[in-house]
Amino acid sequence: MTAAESVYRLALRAYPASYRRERGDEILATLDEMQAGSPRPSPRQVASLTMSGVRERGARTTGGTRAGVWAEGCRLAAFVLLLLAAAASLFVIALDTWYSRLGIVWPGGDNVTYAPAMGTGALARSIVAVVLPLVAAWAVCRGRSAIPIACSVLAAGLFVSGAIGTGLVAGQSSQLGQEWLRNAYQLGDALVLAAPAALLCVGVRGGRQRAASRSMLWLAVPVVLAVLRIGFFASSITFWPLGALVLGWFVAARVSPHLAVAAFAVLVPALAYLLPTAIGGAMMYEYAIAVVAGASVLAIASLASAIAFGDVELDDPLV
Amino acid sequence: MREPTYFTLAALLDGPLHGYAIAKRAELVSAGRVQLAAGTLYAALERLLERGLVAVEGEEVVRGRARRYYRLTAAGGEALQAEATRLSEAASVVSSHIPLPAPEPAT
Repeated sequence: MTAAESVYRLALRAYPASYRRERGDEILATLDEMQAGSPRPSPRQVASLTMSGVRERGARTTGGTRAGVWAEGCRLAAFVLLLLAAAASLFVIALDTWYSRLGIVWPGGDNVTYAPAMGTGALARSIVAVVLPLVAAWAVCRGRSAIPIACSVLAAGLFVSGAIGTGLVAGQSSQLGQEWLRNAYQLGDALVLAAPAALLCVGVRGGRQRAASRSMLWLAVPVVLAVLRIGFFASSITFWPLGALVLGWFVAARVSPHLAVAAFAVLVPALAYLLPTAIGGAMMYEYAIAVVAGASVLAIASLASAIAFGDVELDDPLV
Repeated sequence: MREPTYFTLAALLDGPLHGYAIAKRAELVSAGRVQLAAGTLYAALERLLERGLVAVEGEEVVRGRARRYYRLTAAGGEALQAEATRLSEAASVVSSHIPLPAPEPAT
């Protein structure tokens, strides 16, 4: 197998497995002829395969209908928010364990004073705040809606009642002197926890009865995010996932309309969390991210309205 | 109908072709303007198959890999002809444009 074929096979992973079984060999044979003996993969072909693969997935999960695009977009957004909520809580637990209990400081970090050790009760509440979104995300992977809606409502309810902190701001709120900022953070947390339930309700009503299942490997995302954020946290870059989300949207929206819907639905509650930080925080990059995120919301809203009013072809983006 | 689709259909006017031959033929008949990448080509073929505008004519194995041949269906030929007529009419609006006489200056 040449280097080019290895890369093309990897890019073909963007397609649904059934499509790969049916057409994978044929596409590889065509690519082989297009290569004309060159051992190096063509970036243009890789980009084309990847985008077409994601579009094919989108076309299959949405059924090519406008209702399907909104439903799948909302379900995807709910899934992303659940993963982010789990990652955020996991991050706080990891922060507490690594910095405060084990005394391990990331190179260049000065966070020992920033994150005092949580009490046993707070740690237990944070674990609940990890488990509930993870169970919900697992159920979404299985194509279920009722369990994640219940978990999301339960987590938001527990948070609002003060029984748990989501971990998005836990560890910070005790050190925030301003009452309004603490409240704003808590509102953002409640939104992030409650939004998946609302989004999944839209997904259930607008889409097919049973949602598409997803790979369980996605459940590893919160762990990776939490570990990465620990690293970035030490260098004060605390909101990189949102920044990545904003940048990713510009690509995603071009690929498939349901991804644009999902990015929009994720950014709204995420902004509720980000903006108070931008206003109350001290970091210039947070202002920059907030401005980019705000502009993105406007752009996404215009695209979403274009989809809603039929300016975007949904059934076949390429034809 | 988008340009890649139009030239994919046009490439099949002279008979069934396989994927790579369609891409080469589309490039030729479009004077090099349409260079179909594999992802775009097969996405277009997939939609055209769904709509019944092309059909799989046959299959052969070349160097251990399946190679499918695609042909234009009757419905595909009609759709292509309709699009060609539409483009021709649109082009004639400009190419056969007769300027209106300039308005007489107000006195």
